[in-house]
Amino acid sequence: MGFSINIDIGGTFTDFFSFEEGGPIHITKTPTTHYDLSVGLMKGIGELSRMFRLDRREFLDRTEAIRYCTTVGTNALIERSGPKLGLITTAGFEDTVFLGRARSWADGKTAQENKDLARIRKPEPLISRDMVVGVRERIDSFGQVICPLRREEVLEKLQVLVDRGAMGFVVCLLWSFMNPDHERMIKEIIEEEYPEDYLGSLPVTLSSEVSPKMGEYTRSVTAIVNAYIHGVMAGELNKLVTELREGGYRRPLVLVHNTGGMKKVSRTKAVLTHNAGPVAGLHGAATLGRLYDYRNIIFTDMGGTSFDIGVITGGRIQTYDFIPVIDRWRTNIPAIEVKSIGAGGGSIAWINKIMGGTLHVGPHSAGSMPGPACYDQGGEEPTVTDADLVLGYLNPDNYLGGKMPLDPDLSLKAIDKIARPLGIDAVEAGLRIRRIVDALMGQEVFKEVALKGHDPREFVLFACGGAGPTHACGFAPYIGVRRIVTSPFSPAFGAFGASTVNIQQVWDRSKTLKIFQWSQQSYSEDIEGFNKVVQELRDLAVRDLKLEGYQEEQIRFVLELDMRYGMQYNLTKIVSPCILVRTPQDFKDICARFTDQYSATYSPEATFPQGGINVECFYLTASVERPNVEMKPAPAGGTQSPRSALAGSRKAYWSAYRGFMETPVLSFERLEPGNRIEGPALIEARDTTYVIEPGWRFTLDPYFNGILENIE
Amino acid sequence: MKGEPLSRPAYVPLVETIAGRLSGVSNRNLQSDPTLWANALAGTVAFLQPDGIVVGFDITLAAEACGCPTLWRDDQPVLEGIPSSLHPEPEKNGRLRSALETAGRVFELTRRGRPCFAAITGPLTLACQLFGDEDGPKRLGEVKPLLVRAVEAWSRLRPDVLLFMEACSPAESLIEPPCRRIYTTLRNIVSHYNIAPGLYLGDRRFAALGGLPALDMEIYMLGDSVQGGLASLSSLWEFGEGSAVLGVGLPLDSLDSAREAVHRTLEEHDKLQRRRNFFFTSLGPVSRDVDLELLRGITREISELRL
Repeated sequence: MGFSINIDIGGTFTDFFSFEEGGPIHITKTPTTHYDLSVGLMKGIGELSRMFRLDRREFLDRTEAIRYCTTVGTNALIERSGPKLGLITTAGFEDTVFLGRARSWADGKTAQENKDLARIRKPEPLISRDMVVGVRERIDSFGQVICPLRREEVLEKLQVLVDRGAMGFVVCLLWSFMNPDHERMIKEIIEEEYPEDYLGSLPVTLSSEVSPKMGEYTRSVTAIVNAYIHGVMAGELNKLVTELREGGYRRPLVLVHNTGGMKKVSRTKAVLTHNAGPVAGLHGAATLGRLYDYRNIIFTDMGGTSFDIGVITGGRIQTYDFIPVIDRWRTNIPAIEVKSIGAGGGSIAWINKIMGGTLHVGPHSAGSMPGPACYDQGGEEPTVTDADLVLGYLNPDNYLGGKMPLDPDLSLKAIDKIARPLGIDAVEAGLRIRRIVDALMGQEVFKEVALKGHDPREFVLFACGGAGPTHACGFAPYIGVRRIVTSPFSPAFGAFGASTVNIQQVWDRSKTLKIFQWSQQSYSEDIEGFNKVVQELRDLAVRDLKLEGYQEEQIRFVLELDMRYGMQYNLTKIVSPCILVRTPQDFKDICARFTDQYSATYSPEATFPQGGINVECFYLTASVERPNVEMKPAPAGGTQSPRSALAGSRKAYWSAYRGFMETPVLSFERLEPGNRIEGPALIEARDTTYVIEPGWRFTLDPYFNGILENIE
Repeated sequence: MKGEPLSRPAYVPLVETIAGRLSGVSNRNLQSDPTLWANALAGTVAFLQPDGIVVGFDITLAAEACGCPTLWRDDQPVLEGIPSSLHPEPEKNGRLRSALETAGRVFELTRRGRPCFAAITGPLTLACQLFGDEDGPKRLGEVKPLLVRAVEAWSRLRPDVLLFMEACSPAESLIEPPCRRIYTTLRNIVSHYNIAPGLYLGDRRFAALGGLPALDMEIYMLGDSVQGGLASLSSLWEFGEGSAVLGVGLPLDSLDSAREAVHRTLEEHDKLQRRRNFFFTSLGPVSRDVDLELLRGITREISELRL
């Protein structure tokens, strides 16, 4: 029987979810080794192999798939460790990437940082101004060549960039998504001058291939970011693949994408790997939600560094990030939206002297090194984990199953540093730290859900992440949800989510088609124009997935369209009722769906058919379903009162009782489906602790998911 | 180091001391210039072909970086007195800064072919150097943040081993809770970087010290006075106990005595019921005037051994 290993790299921990086909499931966590991600990764694989009672080589030899949510690309951007690139653009538009989009100084910054107007700046460009050259050429918005490209000029400008030290080229010409011929010509010229078999061979990235969408700035930046991180990622991932191969793994490494799919390393665009972990987690939540037929889910993942929020409505992930920001760069990849804020177990508590000496938590994190003070790795700053330890919620001898003993004295000492200036004791300071972080998280979730037009009370909250079950009862009241689901895979939920993701890619292209004319009250008859775009995307998808080793019959297609009313700016995405259009009636159905979606988002009174209805962008998702880990319900046999799971008690602080009280501690491993526990109580699992606050009830369901309900 | 059987024992002598001699530069000038120092160390490795390279094995480095005044006598650094104040960023100060830069370069050159050892003064010795033998053990807490910085700086260079050098009395303070707690912190840091922690004991009073397993080190190396102070050679194998790798020092007075020590060690090891992993080293840093041909001879002989 083969194994599957699924890995999610986080800011503090690298999470692993592994199962044997038809066999046991194991999760584990290792501290993320930012200096070399593969060190923590191989350590985790070693731990998994021990859990399956195999040596590492045999475990890897029998592994069928390794799915990986990597942060290598994002790290390369943050650390600015990419190559020196040259940008070739249309003459006269060399400053586009430097001008940005009006408020680009705010991109990638928190709301708080955005208020610091005196200090906030546009980021240092990834390509310096002297490495940008313009060539005389012009293609119009219909794809017609107005000014042809001249080879001699390209060669001349190319030499300028090479002389200035370019290690790679990005080509982004105006309207290239309508007609990529000029971009392709430039690539051919570069490849003729610097063939692949020469040492001087330089990689070329075309914006029309990376991101064939409207929007010169975002298209350029997407291509630049992709080129910038490509080389670094290729190097790191090849090293990892070699290490895995030497360790006994013989199959391709698969990367999870932020568009909700996954592909082999060799067939993945670098820019699609950013934020893949949280997107995988959201996918996992959708999969788990289908078990219970939950239609509306708020997915949260509280890790060591960040708190991720995603929303599932109508049983589907349908919220896409509008021009998503990668680090400080606005791109136009069709990424699924998962919002992140700096709130996690490692978030540092600090006194804000400028704001009157008030207590703040985050967004900075202690990370994996030095980590919270109680990790005893030299850290001296108080963190949320230190607060949880001081308040008695965590067992210092059983953290991560005893792998990482915690030192409560160090937590007390660290928290005391901020308690004294506030004139309070360490316990009160710990309580405030916890309340602040819970409030931050809860309010952020409320904003995300309510501002998108939903009532949070109609949602179920999934509390995932290593610290999710520890804080769920704390932040849920701010959202207004009364039902929380925690999975036994919560501590490694991103990795679990990776196991649920299908082989999938989204093929997108901008193309403006007016499909409804108000003046004539008629629908478009340009069926060929619509279908041509879809067919081209379909052909690309089929070719690509065939290269992955799949047959056309296995591929499922979903077409989504970005649409708008004429003269309006905002786009609304809909799932097209048909892939190919056969009659104008199909256009009518598309418009009807657009109107419904627009009405649901903005209100029926806001519709504006008088402007006509346009399709602006096509998104064809091609996917091949993979079998997921089987979740079979166990028979509910446990008595409601789980006496056999009682592992002792310890003093823990409860606000409801304004003090410490002896609190029952139960072992998760000894709970049985059907067991019910009313708070206050603590349930210790191997990689997390469930904190059941007074007024909440925990029930273990047949799938070993913990259901928390507010019974007050 | 990976727990795999070797065809022969490794030999990792502490030869940093002769780098200046081999390159014709004084130690003082060498240690102030990372480029010269790195080239000299690389040359030493190329000349002697040891099985590993140790950088930073100088008991004065950390203390000087923390603020201890240092004099040069006979081209050797000597600590002079107790500092009036402690430098908050020792990794950016003095010869330690130079040593870190040097090690970074040397490790990049040599790490593919041989393991890299880094060395730093342990907390007990450092505290005694900074505050005196009497106050040192009581003020261990003050050296902790300095050592955390220095150890992290060394760890970022990714050596295979980080050796903590302890050469201070009172020896029993080494295993008392305050010192053990600091070692726990330092061990956690090196473990994060996947580095094996090691302990070098250079004072004869450590010879009779029990309870060392509490420090949870993966490698033990003993200085001349410690190994010479052991009751017998067989008690060497009990040192540190458990599965820790042992560095067995060889005398450097003659090739015959070194050869005899090698064979005696191998014989004793073969008699052991529970085998321990070990490697050969020198009984402390080799003297600057050591016979270079003798060193090369020992290296050659050990390389030709077969277990």
